[in-house]
Amino acid sequence: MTGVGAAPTILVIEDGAEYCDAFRRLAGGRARIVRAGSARAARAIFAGETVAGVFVDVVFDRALPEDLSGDLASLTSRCGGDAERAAKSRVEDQGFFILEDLKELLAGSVPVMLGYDFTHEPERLEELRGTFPRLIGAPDPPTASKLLHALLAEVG
Amino acid sequence: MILAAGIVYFFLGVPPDLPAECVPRVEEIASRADEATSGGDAEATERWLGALEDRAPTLLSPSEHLFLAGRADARGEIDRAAAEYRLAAAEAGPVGARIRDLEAREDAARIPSPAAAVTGTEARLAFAEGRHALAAGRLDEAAARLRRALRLSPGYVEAALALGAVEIRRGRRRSAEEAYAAAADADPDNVEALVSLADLLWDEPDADAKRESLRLLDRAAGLRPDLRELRRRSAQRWAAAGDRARALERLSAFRIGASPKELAETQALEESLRGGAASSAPTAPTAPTAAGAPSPALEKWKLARVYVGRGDPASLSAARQLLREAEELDPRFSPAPELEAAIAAAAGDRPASERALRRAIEAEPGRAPLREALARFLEEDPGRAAEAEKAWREAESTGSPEAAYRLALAAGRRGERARAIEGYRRYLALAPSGAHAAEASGEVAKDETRGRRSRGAVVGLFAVLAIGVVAGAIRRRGGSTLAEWTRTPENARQARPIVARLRHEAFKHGALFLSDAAGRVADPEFARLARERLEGPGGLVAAIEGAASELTVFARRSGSRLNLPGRDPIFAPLLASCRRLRGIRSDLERIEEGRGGVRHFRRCAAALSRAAFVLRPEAGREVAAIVDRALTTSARPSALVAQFETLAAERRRPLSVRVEGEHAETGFPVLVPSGDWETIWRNLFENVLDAAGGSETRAGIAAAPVRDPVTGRLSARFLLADDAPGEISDAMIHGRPSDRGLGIVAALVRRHGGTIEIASPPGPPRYRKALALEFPVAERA
Repeated sequence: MTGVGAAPTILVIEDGAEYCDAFRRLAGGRARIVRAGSARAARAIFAGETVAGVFVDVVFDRALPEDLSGDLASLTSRCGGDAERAAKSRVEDQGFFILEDLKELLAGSVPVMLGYDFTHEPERLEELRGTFPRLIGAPDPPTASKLLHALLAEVG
Repeated sequence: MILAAGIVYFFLGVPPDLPAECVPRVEEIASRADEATSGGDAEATERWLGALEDRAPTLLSPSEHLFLAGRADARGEIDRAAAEYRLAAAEAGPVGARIRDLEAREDAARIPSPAAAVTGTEARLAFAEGRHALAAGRLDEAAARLRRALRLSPGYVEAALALGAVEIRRGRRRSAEEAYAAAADADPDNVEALVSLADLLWDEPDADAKRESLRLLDRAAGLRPDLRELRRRSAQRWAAAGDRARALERLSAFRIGASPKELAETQALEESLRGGAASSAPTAPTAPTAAGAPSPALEKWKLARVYVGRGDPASLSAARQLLREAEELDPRFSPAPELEAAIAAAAGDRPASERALRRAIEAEPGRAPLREALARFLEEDPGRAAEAEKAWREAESTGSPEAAYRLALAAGRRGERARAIEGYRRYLALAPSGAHAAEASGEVAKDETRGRRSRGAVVGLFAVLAIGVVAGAIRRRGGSTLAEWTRTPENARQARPIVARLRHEAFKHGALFLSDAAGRVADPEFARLARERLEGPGGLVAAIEGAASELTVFARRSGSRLNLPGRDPIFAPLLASCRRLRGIRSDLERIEEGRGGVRHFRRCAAALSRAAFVLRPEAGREVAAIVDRALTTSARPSALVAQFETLAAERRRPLSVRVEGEHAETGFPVLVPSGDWETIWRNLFENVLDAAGGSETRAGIAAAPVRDPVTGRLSARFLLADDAPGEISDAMIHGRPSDRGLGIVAALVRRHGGTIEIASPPGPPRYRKALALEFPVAERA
């Protein structure tokens, strides 16, 4: 539980530990970094402590299928019955599915950074902000310190 | 646990108060266990194996976990293997990380060829999980995990073999063939891959597949002459293919050294191949009893062979007794000469042993192992070296690789270099993957290098300079860039997923990390992290080089040559950065060990910041844009209306077609090459006209941008509605592609990442039916 005056907790949702490692080394005492490997794990963290900001990776090609968010059946239907493509799309866009899965937790005032470069798709980011008002994309260039700095700036 | 550790220390002779690094590694314990096993000391074997199992897990390094995992895996203990792989993959603290790094370096030093990729822990974990899922009968999961292992480590032969087995159980023969072919590609001498592929191809109906199957099986049999079953199978298949000569040849090879039972089993085949004639003078007993009936004589004969193999006096005495009893039961089981020789040799009766061996050779002059045994026997007597060499020469004439090797060694010792090399070459021809293949190849290569050197240093120098200049020019000028190669839509389609993955990796591991690393490289912990991110199996360098290599392979398959390192404006600097990053490995190690100086910091910072610049997101975007450009068609609904009208006019069919809704003139940048785009719509239009017959048809085309509700990604949705008679069914869309019609349209749409489905027609009663097609669109330029 984060107390008053304590460093804010940043939740990193990723399949590996790259972002988490880098953020921990860079954050020093400015933030407490916790990691979740799936939406389910993230939900458990939300239940136990106050999360000040969330970073979500996009591609989850190292996660187990049962840990992935997104209903494969409906996704297959959306892919015109192509199950293989649906499974691939679920892995490659997993970050978006996690956002959708955690909508009730993230759609409010929690700043969320998605590890995705929206520079050439500003409309897409705007569209998603309709659901997640405090969603931001990765800064350019996306160095670890810039990512962390941008997220902490949003956290305030 | 303490007791177990105490037992381990007791057996190892290491006092418990020594630091952990003084405790022998599990490999050493396992090696002692193996020694005890081969020495026939069951008690010691159990003791060492117990020590191995009991060693406290907290003392194990990741490499030791990997070792135990491999051992468990080989013994079929899948659960244990998976658990050990997991432990190996888990973070093991700084000491574990250090050991892992050291091992990675040792591996890299041991394996000179990039083709022999080091299989990373993650790939091994995926493999173990795949095997685990297979054992539990979860075939789909097993296939997915094994494919992942192969993706992480493309040359992972065991994963490819396991995937082949999974695909067979899933009834997917073609996928199984591909998996086994991948295993055989990665390791052309892998007998399991060759035989499995041969078995699958043999069941194919076409003659070419059967020929290939026979070729693979013969190759496998040549690689492993000790697996005699392969020769029998080969003989049976050549017989089935109608080639009696080859079948008989393989059968003869199989019958050498065959047991009476095996001889009996192949008797019928041989007789049928020889046109019903009885086989000529079998050298060993034939079937002693009717098929299927147990034969006490045979059992005794087989048991005798086992006892002879043990070699101790008691076993030899038992063997003699058993052979006598077998002969009494059935006179055809007279002791084979080689058994007699082995018994005599083990009993120290050299003259009897030699006599028996010579008698055996006389009975079967073409059998290499007997001649090898005689040569070895003679070698043991220093006074008979000349006779031994003669025996080796005779053994060589029967195709013995061992003899070729021994003769080469002997020639080398005498200083007869040319003869020695000739011997090594013969050995390599007879056993390309034999036990001495590496040594023989090395000697041949050394000789070739020496030969080249001796052909004149001056000429060589000029030649090297000239070759260097020409090669440099070719490297810079020859081949295509990625942009040139992807002008063909098919190439662009193949390149797209590779480029997308590279973009992600560059983003995540590269630009994310490198800039920070450059700024903090003097920090030993950061240096360690840098090396992990750069060099690991899933690291940045592997991602870039892997993408370049995959693209090059695709290009080669399509008959063109990509020159990514030499010419490509994006890949050349990326690959140069990889080289530079590899170059700072030793500097990073020094820094990590606290021995780094200013010049090391500077070198690392320069390489890292340069790589960070090269790997900026724009590089990924540029590559993606190049590929997207080749795939993109600007699709306007009004242009589709015009295309439909033209087609109807050509076919003299009455048609009234219009754009429904907005976006008549909007150009949607759909990711479909223009040729395929035209084919899709021509087929759809022709279907409508065919269904209408000669009567007038009304049709409408609508288009609209669609956003994915989850990802927010934009795509373009096109609707084609008409009032022609007939219905569209799901079967027509999802059926097999034919030359025309919806099948081929659906296949093309899916090929480019689109979807096609039956939709509600806009504004009935004007239209009776409609199809909706959705395509991904290119990112905004």
